[in-house]
Amino acid sequence: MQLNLSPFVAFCVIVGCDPSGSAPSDQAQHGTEEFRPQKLLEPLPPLTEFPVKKVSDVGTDLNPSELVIGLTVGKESRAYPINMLTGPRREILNDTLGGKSIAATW
Amino acid sequence: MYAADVGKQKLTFGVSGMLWNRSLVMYDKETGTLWSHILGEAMQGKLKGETLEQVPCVMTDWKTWSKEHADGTVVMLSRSSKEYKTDFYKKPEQFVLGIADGDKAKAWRFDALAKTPTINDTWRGKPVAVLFDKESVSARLFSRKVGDRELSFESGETGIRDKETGSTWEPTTGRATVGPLKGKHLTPLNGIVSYREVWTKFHPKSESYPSGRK
Repeated sequence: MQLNLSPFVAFCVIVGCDPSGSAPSDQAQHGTEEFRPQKLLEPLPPLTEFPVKKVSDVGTDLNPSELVIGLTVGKESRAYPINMLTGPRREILNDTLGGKSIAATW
Repeated sequence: MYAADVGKQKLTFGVSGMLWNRSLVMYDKETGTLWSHILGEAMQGKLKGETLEQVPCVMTDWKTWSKEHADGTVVMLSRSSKEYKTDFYKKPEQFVLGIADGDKAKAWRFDALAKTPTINDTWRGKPVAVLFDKESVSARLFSRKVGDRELSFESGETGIRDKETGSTWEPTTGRATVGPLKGKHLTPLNGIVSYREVWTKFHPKSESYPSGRK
């Protein structure tokens, strides 16, 4: 999902890049705007391995009010708790669910 | 949430360390192409112009998800933040449920959904509904077609019902739980929850519900 004011952006603000960025928002037009990304960090290795639990084994490890991204592919369902996906070392999990390759991101 | 296959190639994505319009830029390990996280589009590199297939998902709370998917699994890493709980949406006017396809986009504001938790609408000429669950602050976009039948939804004290058959529907899964259509599922569409400001930046021509207010 795309809630973008993650700690990664906080980092951007902390290191002092101009959050209004290289392209003024009034020029932003999907498909026509020039792609001018700002480099803040070196690329991080893809995340392909991470622990997975059964819902029935979670117990009190998650709070009932915590937000998750939920995905169902075929007969398989998996939740991705957002509080565990934030930060540049997370953000994207390369996963497989119901036989489908997934880039789990938000 | 994206499918990681482009054509017959399976891609492995990582954080590029770059931001574009304050939004994450991903790279794939196989070709080094740079991808806009929010658009799912290859912006630079070998696969430029390709688009990742979105996979319908829902953003909801653990209480709701774990009840509805008791036989499922969950990724368990150490917490990297604590702020993402249902009270994250204290200012619902800042959030939208949006859908985009090519140069078309539409977004429904959370403050409107909090007042009217079922919105019967159209998207690209097809009947759709936004169903909202106040308790878990979950918004989800579905097709209103079930088989040959087109439904329209209303919310009342007993939950969300369709006017045509009176069946009751679960907003987070799109499953009918009571009534003649019990057990049927609505087809989810690729709605995503986003900050309204970010949505407008990436989709400046997006239609908005309520209309006339960006």
